[in-house]
Amino acid sequence: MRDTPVTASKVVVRFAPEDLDLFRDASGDRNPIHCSADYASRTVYGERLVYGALGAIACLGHIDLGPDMRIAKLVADFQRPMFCGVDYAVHRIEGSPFCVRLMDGGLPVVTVTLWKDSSPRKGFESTGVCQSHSYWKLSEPVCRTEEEIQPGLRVSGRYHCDPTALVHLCDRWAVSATASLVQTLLWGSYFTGMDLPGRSALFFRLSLDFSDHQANDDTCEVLDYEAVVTKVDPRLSQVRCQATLKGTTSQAIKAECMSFLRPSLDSPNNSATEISQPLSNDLAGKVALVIGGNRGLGAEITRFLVSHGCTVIATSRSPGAQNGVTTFSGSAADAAWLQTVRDAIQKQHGKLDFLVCNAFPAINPLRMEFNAIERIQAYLQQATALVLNPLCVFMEMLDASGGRAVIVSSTATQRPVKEWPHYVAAKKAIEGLAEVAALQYPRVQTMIVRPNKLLTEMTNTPMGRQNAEPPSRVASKLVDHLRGPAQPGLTLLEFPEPA
Amino acid sequence: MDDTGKRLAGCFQVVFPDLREAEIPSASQQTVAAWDSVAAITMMNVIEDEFALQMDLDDLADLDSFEKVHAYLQKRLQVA
Repeated sequence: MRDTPVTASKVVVRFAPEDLDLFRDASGDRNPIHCSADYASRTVYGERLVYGALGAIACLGHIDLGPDMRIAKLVADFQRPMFCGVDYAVHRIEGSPFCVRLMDGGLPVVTVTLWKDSSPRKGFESTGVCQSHSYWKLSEPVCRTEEEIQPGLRVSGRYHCDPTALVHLCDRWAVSATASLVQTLLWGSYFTGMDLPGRSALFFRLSLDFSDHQANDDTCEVLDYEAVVTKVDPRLSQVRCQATLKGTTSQAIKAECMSFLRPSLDSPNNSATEISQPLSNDLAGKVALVIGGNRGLGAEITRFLVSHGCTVIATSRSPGAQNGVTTFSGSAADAAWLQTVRDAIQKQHGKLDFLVCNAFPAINPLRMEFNAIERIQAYLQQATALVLNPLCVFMEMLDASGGRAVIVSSTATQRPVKEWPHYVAAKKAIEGLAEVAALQYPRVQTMIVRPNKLLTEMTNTPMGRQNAEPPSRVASKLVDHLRGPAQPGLTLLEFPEPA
Repeated sequence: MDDTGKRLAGCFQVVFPDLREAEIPSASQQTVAAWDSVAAITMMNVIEDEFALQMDLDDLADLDSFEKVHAYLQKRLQVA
């Protein structure tokens, strides 16, 4: 609490991709949100997440856990996502319980709270088996649906971390805690990220009770675990599990894991591969380029354009195929690459009628403080490039055909979101670009579209999903406008605020 | 402060451990830097555990100050 001394050290912790790889090797947690840059780029986070338990281990490195100190209880709260390359300050809060926290500026990201066990050591020497190699059953995370994860669901397994990687991990973060304690943190990550909930998990809290557990400092036992889901909150897709972990001794470690599920948004309305039956031929003969056309709103716009007879070319950072759509894999932030796309369109189709600038970077909450300056600047640069580059490359083609440029903005320009200074500023910037493009190319109809919060991977978080609208509704209305007569100059397409 | 308020203050201390005890009654989303959507979820969990009730997610957006949360809980507990 605030009335106890807080030591805000000048020490910072910064994670690198190699740190994630080492943790993966030590723990066996191969959840792609941490391991795969490609997978993570298609989530709301945009890049690999640092394991929460790795943040907790980094915190332990700032606690002097001498040989005589025993931990009765440990709670690790994974409050906000962590990323590589960000400086997280270490705050120590002395007292009982003892607390170490990683801070992103003024925001806590990981908090480890420890309760010491002041009772005398019982002198028990564990005869547990110390493995010379790892043991875990799962090499890929289990994919469980929300319907499967219900109170009473039980899972069990056997676990041992990789002992060699564990040593490297403890050296890397200067951890003096017992191998047993660190292994339990690794187990928590493996259990949540690989087993229950598995692939869609976002770890929120790990609570470990060691009061019945005795372990020789040098022993890292094979653990048999049994877990049961105790509570599911469908409003937030939050899951609570209780588990017991036993070595070959009879004393058990009690654990409680709390996590969120990231429900899959794969559905006919959200899949980029589903193209509906033709609705009309109103756009037959028209050629459209959708920047970021493989997912979310871009995929829906593509789908509706095709369903009205339009020839659609989509760009996407990830390779992917949509029926009836030519896809170029690359980033619109690369202007030189966009020029090759333009040349290909010119060669194949001879014209461009519609340009839809939909691509935008993933949004992670940021506060306007010193620690976030670089990230906000980088976001602004990338986000504006994703619209500036296509406008600069394609407006002449649109001008030649009297075509239309669509810039997907957001109601956040009118109702700013407190946690998104970078997103709000970037959307306002691209609206400015659209306004000037309309002046410089008056034959082109330039349309700014301001949808409300949409249910896409960009908003697929427990709170982000609340009151988010399906993108198909916006896409349908937009394409209906494109089917109508062109009105050169600047137009604005807005949507009513949700009730 | 009534008993509900004291218990709620305890919840706030869990969610915002850097908040001084004297600052809690006047705490709001505007004054507490760490009070974002993530903290709101944590607070909801802590309050639900403490008061053994289920909060309405739709109400969460409006509960942006200690005062409002306190009033909300007093109303809910009276009904109960």
